[in-house]
Amino acid sequence: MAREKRLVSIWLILGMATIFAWLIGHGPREINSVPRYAQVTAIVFIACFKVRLVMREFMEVRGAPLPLRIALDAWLTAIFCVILGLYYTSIGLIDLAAFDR
Amino acid sequence: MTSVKRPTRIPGEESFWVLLGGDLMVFALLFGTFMYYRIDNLALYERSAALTSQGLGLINTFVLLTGSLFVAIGVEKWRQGLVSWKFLYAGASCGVIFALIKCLEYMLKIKSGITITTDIFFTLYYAFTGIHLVHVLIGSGLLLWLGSGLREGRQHTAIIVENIALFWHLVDLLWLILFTLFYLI
Repeated sequence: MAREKRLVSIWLILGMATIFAWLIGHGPREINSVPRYAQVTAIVFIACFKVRLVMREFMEVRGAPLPLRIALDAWLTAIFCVILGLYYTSIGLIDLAAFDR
Repeated sequence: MTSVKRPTRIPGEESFWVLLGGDLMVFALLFGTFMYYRIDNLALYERSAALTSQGLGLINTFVLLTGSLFVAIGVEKWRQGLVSWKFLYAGASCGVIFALIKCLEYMLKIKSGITITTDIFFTLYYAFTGIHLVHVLIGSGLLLWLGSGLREGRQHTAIIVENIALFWHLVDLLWLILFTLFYLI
């Protein structure tokens, strides 16, 4: 029963995080006055936070051996960096050509 | 003071994690591809993203998260020897609802003239969400098979139950990223 209560709590957190990310993207003007790149950073961070919760709680990775936990966290970190790195490049915050100079 | 080390166990079958890992790698490439094309198509991406059915995407996110909750509770009930097939059926139903909403979304897009050939954004949108939809249908089918077996009193090993649940949760977490890329940023 305790585990089921925990699972429902996790589901509630995931739902609230989803709504929060949604509000950042489509919410009231006060939120929208934040620069778009900062909003996107928050939205991607929330998505990765949610993915980690699903992995650790629903997939029970929390109690898995360390190598599996490290591998999944590495995948998630790579996804986070690639998405944001390419996003920043697309809006000109990162200049990929500078790495060749 | 002595520290107590919590025992660890790998959920599901070890070799099944190779399959899950392969799927994670493939989707990582898809996510990277989508973001890479954004670099040369910024204006087009922003214009096209505004045309996605964001409300339906949000509803589908809740549908899959709820499906994951049902499946996780179902696995727990199964371990306790309680009735679990109802929760697995509920999880599969969430998959079917997701698929129906996705089809509605595709139909609305096609009706308004947005197809797979419209632009690079929508080519990737149809391709990637389509690949994911196949995963959802496979996951729903597996849950129905597992649930019906348990309902009929068939014995399943923990590995089979956990493997199917893991696949279902993988489908859920991949959607969380797809939803963010196509509908939110």
